[in-house]
Amino acid sequence: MEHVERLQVSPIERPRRRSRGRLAEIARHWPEYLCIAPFFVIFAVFFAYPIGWAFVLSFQRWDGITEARWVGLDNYRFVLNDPVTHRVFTNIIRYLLILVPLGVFLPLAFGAILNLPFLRFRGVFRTILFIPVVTSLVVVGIVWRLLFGTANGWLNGLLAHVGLGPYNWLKDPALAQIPIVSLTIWGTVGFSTLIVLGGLQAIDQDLYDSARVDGASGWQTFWHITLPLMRPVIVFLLITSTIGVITLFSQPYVVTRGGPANHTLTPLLHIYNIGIGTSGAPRIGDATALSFLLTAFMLVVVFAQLWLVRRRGEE
Amino acid sequence: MTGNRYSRRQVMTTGAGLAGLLALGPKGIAQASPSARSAVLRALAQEQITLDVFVHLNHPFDNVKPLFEEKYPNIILNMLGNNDMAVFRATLAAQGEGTPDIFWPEIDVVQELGKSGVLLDVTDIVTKHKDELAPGKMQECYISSTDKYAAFPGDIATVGIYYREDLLEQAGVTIPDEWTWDDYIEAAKEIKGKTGAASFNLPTTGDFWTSVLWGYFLYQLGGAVTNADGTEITLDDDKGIVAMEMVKKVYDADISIDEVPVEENFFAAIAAGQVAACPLPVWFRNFGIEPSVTDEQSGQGYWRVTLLPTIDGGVSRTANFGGAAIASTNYTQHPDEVKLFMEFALGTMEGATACGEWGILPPYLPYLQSEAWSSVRSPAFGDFAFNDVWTQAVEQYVGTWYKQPVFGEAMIEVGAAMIPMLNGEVDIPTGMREVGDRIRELNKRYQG
Amino acid sequence: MATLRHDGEESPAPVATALHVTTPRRRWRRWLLNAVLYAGLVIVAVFCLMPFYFMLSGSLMDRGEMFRIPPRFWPEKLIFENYRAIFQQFSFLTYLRNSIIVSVAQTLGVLFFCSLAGYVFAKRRFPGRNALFIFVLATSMMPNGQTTIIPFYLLMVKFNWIDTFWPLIVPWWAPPLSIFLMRQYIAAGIPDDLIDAATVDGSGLFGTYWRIVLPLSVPGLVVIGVIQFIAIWNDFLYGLLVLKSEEMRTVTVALTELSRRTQASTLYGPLFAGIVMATLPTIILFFIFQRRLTQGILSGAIRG
Repeated sequence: MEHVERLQVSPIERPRRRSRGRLAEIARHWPEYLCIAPFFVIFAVFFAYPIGWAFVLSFQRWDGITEARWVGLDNYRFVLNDPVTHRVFTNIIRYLLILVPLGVFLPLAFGAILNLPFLRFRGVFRTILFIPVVTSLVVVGIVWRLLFGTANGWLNGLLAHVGLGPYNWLKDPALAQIPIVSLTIWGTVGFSTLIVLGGLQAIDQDLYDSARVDGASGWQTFWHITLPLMRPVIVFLLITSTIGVITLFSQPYVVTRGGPANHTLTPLLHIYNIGIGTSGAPRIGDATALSFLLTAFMLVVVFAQLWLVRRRGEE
Repeated sequence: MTGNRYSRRQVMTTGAGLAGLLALGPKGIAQASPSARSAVLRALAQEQITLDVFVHLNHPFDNVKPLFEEKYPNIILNMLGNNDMAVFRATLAAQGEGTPDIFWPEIDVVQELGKSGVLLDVTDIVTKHKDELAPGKMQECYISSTDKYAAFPGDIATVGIYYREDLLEQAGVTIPDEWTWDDYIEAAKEIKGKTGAASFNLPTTGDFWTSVLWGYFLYQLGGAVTNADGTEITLDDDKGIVAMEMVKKVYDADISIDEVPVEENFFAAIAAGQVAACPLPVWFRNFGIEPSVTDEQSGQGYWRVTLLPTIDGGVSRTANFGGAAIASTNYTQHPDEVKLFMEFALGTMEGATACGEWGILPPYLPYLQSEAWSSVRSPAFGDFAFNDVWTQAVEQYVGTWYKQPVFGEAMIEVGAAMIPMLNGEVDIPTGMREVGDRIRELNKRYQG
Repeated sequence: MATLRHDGEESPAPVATALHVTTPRRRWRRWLLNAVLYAGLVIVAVFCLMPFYFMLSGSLMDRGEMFRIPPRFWPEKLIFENYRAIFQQFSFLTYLRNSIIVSVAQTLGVLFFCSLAGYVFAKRRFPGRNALFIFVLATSMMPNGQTTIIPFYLLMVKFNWIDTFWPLIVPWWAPPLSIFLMRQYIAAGIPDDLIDAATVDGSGLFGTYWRIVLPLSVPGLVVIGVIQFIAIWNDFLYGLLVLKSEEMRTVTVALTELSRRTQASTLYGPLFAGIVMATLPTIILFFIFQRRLTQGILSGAIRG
């Protein structure tokens, strides 16, 4: 990606290739290392260590109280055969299919519209779109639950005015993803739109001018100038929304609690439930095993996406 | 007023305070049990002790706290207003770092933690009161593998039918002494037709709340999710299937409110007069009925309660929903004071009265036979003596409803599996077999 | 770099001028396009604002009204009792104070450590720089927090940090994404000449950072700072885990607690008042920094 290439070309000091030892070179640069040390210390202590510990736990059976016991790959075997695992991964794939396209196209569309120069109140719309970003989805999720109630939900109350409903939003497996999806979109689209806007405004206007001189239509300029130049932004949206969906937690945690019949349960919420023992003894081994499977899944999806967009870009 | 009921030693343990001690003299202290002695000695020293009480906000113990603190001025109850089990378990994993002194676990948690040996052994105070405590509830706190009581009996969550006499009258329904669930369902259809009000609560959330009704029927049939020690899964036996067929009958009759019973949406249905009757646990009166029933529409003064209808081959006219116990862990620094509180809150007239007035059904039998219990009234129920019905229910509260560690997850799985069974996508014996096998697999993970 | 050149508000893209040719047919089409556009935008705006309306409306209702069947959209009679309740029954001011302490302490740390690391990664050369930077980026792909809750808690116990604010502050001082963004910002936004000049003047690494880099990074720091502040303000999971006593709770922890109580029956009113009070500070903060924040993001402070 762009930033990695740029790494090579920001020289402050001219390269001085003396035949000094590498160690001496490192020692000479101790202030630099000191400045970046906090990250590595914090990472090692608060993240790498617990993650390593969790990895060990994924090969053990432990309820958090009695002595942990080695079980080899049994946790992985159980988790891979568990119907609930299949359910949560089915759910997450469905969320990916809905939320990732929305998470890329909606900001692009809103960004393109809010970038229209003749549009009035652009700043106002931009602000309104951004306000939800500053709220806590857990806290707003409480409102969402009430919004999507059946007999006394506000949304059904509104729909009743146009003769629709009532819909059983939180209990019908076919509908229950709508509250989750809408809350996610509500909370994230403003931020993504702003990034798209930033990308659009960074495009050199001369390119458009010369395209117009060449007689290109609006659609052609969009297709041949805007879109290719927006590629880094699109990739950014794609990757961030994918990771966001795979680690979905707060929204189902508050709004549906994973129901109905596990149809909105996400891997992370399931991991939390069994790992912390919200309805039985904690199954820490199963939870950690599942979390490493989830990480593997995330890496595969993200790298597959990177690979796909890279190939298309090189054509 | 209840002092004459106690032996001298009990007066000691329940800590009469400095004045009583002086009257008894050093001899009394020597006679007391070691645990009581240390409690008494601390009382003598006036050492201030704080017990962290890990219960949700608005809890029966809020009523007990002032009485207890008045009686034992050196002990302060710190009500944490938080009962998040995730937090609690994290403290256990940390070898008791930050573990509260007293908590209020559900029975499957008592069984699980009791088996792992982390709970404070309270066998001494339970056996001391064994004639005064409801046997079914004592059984719930008993850990068979260690032959000990790991918790002091808490509230007895029996189940009955809460109903509105005015709506039933309107529909021309009278409740006979003996009736079956089939009669009840027929009556419910009649009520629904005449008044539009529902007679069941059956949330289709496909989780724990969905399986509650199935649990009632299973309980009445004398079945359970597991056998007594939790080694075998029995939820898909004949009783489990019959219970599920009953739920399907209810579902098909379209006589239910599709809301989770502990949520505001259900309370709103009650307030809107959409509930004519419903099998509900005893604690639901204070929990959901009192706050929702405020006017004529919601049936103020007309609410009643009766035992559950009978079920073919059934053994009980009540069931269970919830019902915690009071427990502590081996990590507590003040086991004697903890036991003192347990006994006071649920094993004395004063404590039981305070809890009973809050709205739970305490396990202390002398209280359940007392005027204090029987005379409780509430505006929703007019002059109706609802507690007399609950006393009858306690007699039918059987000890074969085993809530072993897998119980919580099993109920959730059954709830999830119920949706296709109720819709008719999966036939009941197959559906039950599948969920049974799944729980069997899961249960292996709870067996050490 | 096209960083600060474009102002979001006043930079009409020249594409538009092409549309300004006015024939009657075009004018009609334009009117239609406008109508559709504004209608669409108004619908989106309503979608964005509606939850806030219900928050406010719910906080002014008594509990029976909030769950009325059919629902009410605005209280029949405004009730301010809920607001009194959260400040009197619950120590909401304490929660607010705690949230502010945690958010400020964490944000300041993030700004310092991330700009320092960002500067070093952007402008200094030293062995292993690229590899270390890629490592920093790679860590953002590590398993999520929910996975490591139990080990994290046990670690906090070892540190004796339970029921303190430290677990909510220190571990989050150096998020890889913020380091990345600061590096990008400093690499593009601060000319090498300036830093060279400072170095020639005999300024050390830290001196240059303090006197040149930090002041010049303020726009980027504002963006990251505000985003960070809001993120911490809204976090609840770790607070729920480590904050035990009532007087240590942060706003979101207190509200999550309140909303999950089984005995929630009478608390929905105060809960909604609490939701309004919890949301207000971040919205106020957003409006204070709105120009700088949006322009910072627009100008590419956040882009890769």
